[in-house]
Amino acid sequence: MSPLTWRSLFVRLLPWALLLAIVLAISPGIGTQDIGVVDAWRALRAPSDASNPTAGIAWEIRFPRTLKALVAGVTLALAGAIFQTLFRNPLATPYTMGIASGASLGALIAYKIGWLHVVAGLSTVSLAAFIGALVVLGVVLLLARSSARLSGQTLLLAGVTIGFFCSGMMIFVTSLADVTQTYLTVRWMMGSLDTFGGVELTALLPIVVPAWIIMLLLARGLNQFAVGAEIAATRGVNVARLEVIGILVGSLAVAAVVSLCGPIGFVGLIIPHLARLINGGDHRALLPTAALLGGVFLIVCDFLTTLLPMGYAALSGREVTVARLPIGVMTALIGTPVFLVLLCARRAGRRL
Amino acid sequence: MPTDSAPILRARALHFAYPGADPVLTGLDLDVRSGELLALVGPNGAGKSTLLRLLAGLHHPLSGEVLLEDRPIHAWRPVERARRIALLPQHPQAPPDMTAEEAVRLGRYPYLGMRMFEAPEDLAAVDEALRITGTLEFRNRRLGTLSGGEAQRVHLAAALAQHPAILALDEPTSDLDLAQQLRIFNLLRELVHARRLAVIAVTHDLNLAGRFADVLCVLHAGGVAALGPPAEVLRDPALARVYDVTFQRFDRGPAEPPLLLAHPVVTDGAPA
Repeated sequence: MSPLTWRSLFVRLLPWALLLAIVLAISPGIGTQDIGVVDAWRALRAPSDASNPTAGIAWEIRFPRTLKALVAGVTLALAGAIFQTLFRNPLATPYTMGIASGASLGALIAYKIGWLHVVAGLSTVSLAAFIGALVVLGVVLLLARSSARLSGQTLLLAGVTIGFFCSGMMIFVTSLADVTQTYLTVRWMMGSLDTFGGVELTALLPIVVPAWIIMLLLARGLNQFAVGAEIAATRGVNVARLEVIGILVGSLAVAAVVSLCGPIGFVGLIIPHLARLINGGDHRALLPTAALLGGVFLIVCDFLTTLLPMGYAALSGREVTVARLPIGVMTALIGTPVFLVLLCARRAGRRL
Repeated sequence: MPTDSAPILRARALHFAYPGADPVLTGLDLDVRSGELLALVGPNGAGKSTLLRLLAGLHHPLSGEVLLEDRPIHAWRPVERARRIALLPQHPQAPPDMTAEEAVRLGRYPYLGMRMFEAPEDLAAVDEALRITGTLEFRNRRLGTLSGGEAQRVHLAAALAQHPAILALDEPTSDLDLAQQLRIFNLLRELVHARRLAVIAVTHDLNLAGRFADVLCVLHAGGVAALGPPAEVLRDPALARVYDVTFQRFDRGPAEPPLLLAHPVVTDGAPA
């Protein structure tokens, strides 16, 4: 590959940025109500009030959902890519390491015990998610530390196990709730862009956007880390600082997203691998590519959460009970086959 | 023998132990000079790789110090230090899908400063490093498709792109066949003579070390057991005790390093 410059990076990112612009543009026209893309855009000019429900649905319900999907996709993809490099394991993500489960459990407990305030502009549900993520991170690192060095395998095993524990705890906590609450929380636990626990996207942006910038700025250090911690250190990289910042910022950003829309799986796992196939392993290209792809992927998955039940209803002529699937269902349904294909491609060509 | 210059790198009374383990180095002194290839030899566990890491500033000694150009190595800013000393570990873990040129470009990190991408002068340094190591022809190949010798030359090129004054290599030829071993060491010799580099190479092969090194340093029991020109050190009777073997020596002339063939020590009555 030719040397990366700002110019060549721009060229490599352009198609994916355009794709993102396209899905953003059509998003107000896609949803449970029958409003076309053109009508949605036309409605933007008209004032949004009772006489103009189209504008209300398109721009006050659908577009914010899309923005949530974008923020979640970018964050999960970036954090996944960074974890894969820092733990030298293609399966290491904040999800497989149990950190997202810890964040979910924290958020759910806060929700259940009614700890629902706004502290310093942040919902307590988000704060509880941060705490949950940090607790799991601490436990995982402690376990790994006690068994010799920070080996990726050990961390992954510890993380997966703790993830199962958190899932069990979440079911337990949920089962104590009344039926309506249970329905909402179960949807949220599958990953959902519905509003939950009063967590607002705008409140989380001051945390998530700086986290993106920090993660993108780690690119050069991560490139060095990928060829070995010792080489990175002798070339002048502060390896300990790189690890701490990468893991901490990635974990907190993911916790923020989890409090916003529940644990949405597979994005952090497959999107970095796709980005690597498309634009190579240099983190200066890999990270922004993964960010764009993650955003596109989750927005398209959000489209499918309504289009799939609608399509089924239209084809079968039956009513569907759920007009909108939780987005985590879509990412799992799409993510699993994609991941298996990547796995086989890797075995065949050792491309990953 | 080009030993006129002041040492560029010095170890003074180095003590080192890994946490909770026995001491590795107990008061080691060593001078490294520009224009000299120093081979670090010694039995397993003698502390060769540890010493190399200490010299590269990767570990802090328990006591004693490493001086780079007369300044404590940890007093240097990391990128400034990186412009003077490059380390090639025994098994670099570069991702197999990285191309040779990408790997070599990484060597320019200490020169990037605030820049996100390599400048033309960085790319020129990369081209030169590829040329010197004979890796230009496969600059676009992925590391996973290269032979062991080719990959090792790429890693060496990455270290050279760093424009170091000192090159620290941990068993640079351990996985290579004879032709590749000679190729790497001839290249190192050329770098030492033509560019006045200081090269420190850990190796297990005494004859290879004797043939290419200017100075042979034998590590044993936490210190330097023998140090000097290979022609002298390889004749040192202490060498057999260090390795716990007996040596059969093939002299090639008084100024030449002899060739050594190791035999197990035969104890009384018990044939080995």
